[in-house]
Formats: sequence, structure tokens, C-alpha cells
Amino acid sequence: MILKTENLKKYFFKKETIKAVDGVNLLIKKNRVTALVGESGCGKTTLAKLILGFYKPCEGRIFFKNIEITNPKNEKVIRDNIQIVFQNPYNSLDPYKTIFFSLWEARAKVEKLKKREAEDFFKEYLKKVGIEENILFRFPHQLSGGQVQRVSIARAIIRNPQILILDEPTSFLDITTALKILDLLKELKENFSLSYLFISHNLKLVKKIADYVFIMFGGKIIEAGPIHQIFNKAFHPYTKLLLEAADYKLEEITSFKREGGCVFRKYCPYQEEKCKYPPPLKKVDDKHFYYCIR
Amino acid sequence: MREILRIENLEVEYENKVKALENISFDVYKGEILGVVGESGSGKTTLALSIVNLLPEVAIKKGNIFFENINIFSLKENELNKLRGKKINFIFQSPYDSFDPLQTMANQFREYLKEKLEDKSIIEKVIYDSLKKARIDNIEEILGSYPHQLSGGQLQRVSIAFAISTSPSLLIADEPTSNLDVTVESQIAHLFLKLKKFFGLTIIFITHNLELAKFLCDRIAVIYQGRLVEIAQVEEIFNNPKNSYTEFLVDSFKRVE
Repeated sequence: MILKTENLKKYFFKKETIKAVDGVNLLIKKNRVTALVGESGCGKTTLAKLILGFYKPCEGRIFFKNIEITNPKNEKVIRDNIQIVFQNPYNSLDPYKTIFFSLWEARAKVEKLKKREAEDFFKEYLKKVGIEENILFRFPHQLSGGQVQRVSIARAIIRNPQILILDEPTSFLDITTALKILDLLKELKENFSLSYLFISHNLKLVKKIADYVFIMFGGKIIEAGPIHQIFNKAFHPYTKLLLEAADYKLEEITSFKREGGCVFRKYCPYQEEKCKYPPPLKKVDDKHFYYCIR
Repeated sequence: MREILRIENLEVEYENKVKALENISFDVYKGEILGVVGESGSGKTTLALSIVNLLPEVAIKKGNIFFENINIFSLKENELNKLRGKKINFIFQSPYDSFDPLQTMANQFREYLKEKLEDKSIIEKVIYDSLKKARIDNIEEILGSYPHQLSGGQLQRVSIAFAISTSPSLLIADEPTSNLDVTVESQIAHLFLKLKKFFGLTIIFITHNLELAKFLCDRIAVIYQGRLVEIAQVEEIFNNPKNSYTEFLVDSFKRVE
């Protein structure tokens, strides 16, 4: 275990209370790729932001190894050990500054390196993420989407983090580029002994890289298991729906307009009276579990 | 006449001598879904915009585009306006950008149809029928909503309803599902199939998603760096690609499968 969350909750109090993250127990193992899969609004990005300390949880705690990082005193532990790569790489780099400057801010500024030293150091890193070193003094808009995403990855690993959160790192890219980025990520994981939290809505892509997957719906984890088990035999109706949709077999979902109890009850074709109450935890084996009455 | 659209030697060049499209010729048959597949910057959208002559002023166009035997490039602006958004209609990628955030859907739909329909008395009926065809159940609720109150999937269904309300003979859909969740994408893909099957609509479906194109389309045109590198039946493209770029694309697709 390198990171875990304990009964993590984040509610937003607007007109109605939005339970963005509602009692999540997530576990990231060392040197593994843990995936978090769910659709827009399921709370996956809020969860990532909680881990990074951008939000304070309403309830629950997060541990990095044995250090409680939800404690404000330990903020530096987050900065030193966890980094994130976002979906749209153009948004994560300053458009007015060269690539050199973006990397400078990430590492050299902190360590007070001299410009000459930093330059060589950065070129080394650019090589590691597979781009030519002559792009160092270019601006983000002069690079392609794939190149800029490689720069964001370089910037994330330049601080030597232990965990990398990848929030839909390839959804912005063409499929051919996306596959190359996945290959790069696999390689970096070994070379830098990184652990990944790979956030995505695309189960097929997740299958290419992940070891273990958490499926999220309505702020809750509804099923979790080793990736191949989930693909071979999923138990939760929502996971089954996601798998069907990935093959375009899903024609139409009917919404039943029922509230309370199981989060998926509104859409679940198998719902019955008992679903009004929180669903029980069922274990397939010690690694694979889901929450459903069935 | 089997083809509804014929493109002959289309070439589009921007002022800095960049050729966005070069030497493109193909036909679109009545009642088919033709997929236009390519990566970002390959010229897919430029191709779609040339069909209704919506290219920027600075673009230099060569070649001919015949829609139901009328040469689009020879039409005057007011004649073109009779085609655009009527006989040929569009669906775009981001449904949030296609609507006025300050108007209810009902108002927007009425305004939209006031321009397009000769007979104003049937507007309400056309609205209702189109939403029905786009398989929206809670019509009243949707019509009373503002865009931000609807989900991406609901809004994309409404855009489809708008697009089919003018009884177009050709629908051009530019990445209509790339902003949507997987479960919604699957449902919208099925909706396009139904539109083809039940209403005989001809659809040009632009996408970078090969898997979706394989599921949805009858034929696929592969665009690479502004050129049409291959056009064939879906099975041909996937099982027996002739062009090396097509082969490369199909291989990447198979790696994900």
C-alpha cells in the first residue's frame, strides 16, 4: 500500500447537497496501475483533487504510506510525492512561457539550480519522455498535442514523485498518439518505480495499462477488482452497462426516477424493494468486491 | 440517381499556401452513413465545411461539389442559404456551444423553425415530432429547460432533433459523440442508426474514433494530411486495407480491441 483513503467524503452545499465523493475507500498499491473508472460527474476528479489536497474532505482521512496527508501540517508530503497530469495538456502549461520555463518552475527554481545546469538536466528528462531536446525553448502552441502531453509528463516526474495521478491523460489525443503515450507511461513506471492512479471513462484503454480497477458511480465505489476479472465477469449492473456501452451494445437506458438507497437505483433494470436501502458489500474473492443485493 | 453528393477534385488552400485539402473526389450515396475518418488536423472539418461552402473568405477553393446535381460553388449566398440548415443540416461536437444559454429550448426551437419553415402553423407539431424522432420521452420537461439544466447527452439529442426538423436529405455530423460519456455515446450511436433505418437519412459522420465508425458506418473515407487515401466498405477497410496509412490506423485500433 502506498496510498489509501478512509471513508472519504466531500459534499458541496449548493441548492441541494451534492455528494461528490461519498464514503470512498481507495487503495493504491506500490508500482501498480490502479484505475478509477466512471463517467462525468461521478466524482473521480473530485477524488483526485482531495488526494492532492486541493479540497479539504468533509469527513475521512487520506494516508500516504503511514502519514496522514489530510492533516494540513503534512502538505509538503503531498507536494513532494504526488503529481498529476491533466487531460488537456495545453491548459497545464503557461502559453506565454517556453517549455524551459515550465520545467524550471517545477524543479530548478525550487532547488536553485543554475541555468546552464538546469538546461542539461531538462534535456535529459525530455529524452526520457521521448521528445527531441531542441523543443526546450519553444512555446506550447508550437508543439503537437502528443508532444505537449509528453512535456506535462516530464514536468510531473521531474520532482521524483512516488505517485502519479493521470486524469484522462489520453482522451484529448488521437488514438495512435494515445497508444504511444500509454507505452511511454508503462516504461516510465518501471524506470522511476512509480505508482499510478489512472482516471478514465474508457474501460478498453484502462485494460491496456491497469492492474486493478475501481468503478465509481454517484460518488461511491460500486465495484472493484483485478482488471481481468472485471472484464471476464462483472457483477454490478452498472459495470455490466459500462462494458456493454464500450462495444456499442447499449441501445437505451431508461431512467426510473427513484431516489435514495443504492446510487444506481435510478437506472438499474433489476431494481427491487430492497434497493431503497444501502446495498450490502459482496465479496467475489479477497480482491474483487461489489455493492449490490444481487 | 444513386448519389446525393458528388465531390470532384476538391482543393482548399489557405493564404499561407497551406493546402488543407487536395485532390478529393468521392460520392455519397442516398441512405448511407459515410464515415470520414482521420486524425486531428487531417482536414475532416474543412471537408465538411466545404460541402455547404462555409469556408473562411481567405480560403481558395477549386473543384466542384454537386448536391442533388446542383453545383454548390456556383450558387449565390441567398440560394445557398436555402440549402444550408435545411436540405443539408449539421450537428456539431459540443452541444453546449450550439444553443443560446439564455433561452428555453422551446423558444430556441420555435425561433429556429420560424426561419426555416414556410408554413408557420405547423411549427409546434414539427417540434414535437422531431423530439419524438430523436427519442426524447419527457418532451415537455426538455422544452421548458435552459441548456445548462440538461445533460450533454440530452442536449445532443435536442441538437439532433433540431437538425432533423427541417427534413434534410443530408446530415453532416462532426464528431457528435466525442464530448459524451461512453454509455451516452453508445445510445446516440444507436439513435443515428435508427434515423438511417426508419427515416432513410443520408449521414456523413466525421470522427476520429475508428471503433465507432466500424459500428455505425456503411462506408469509410480515410483522410490523411488533406488527401483522401482510401474509401471503401467498412469490412474492406478493416479486413483488407489497401493504403499503408489505413493499415496503420486499423492496426492501432486492433491494439486497443
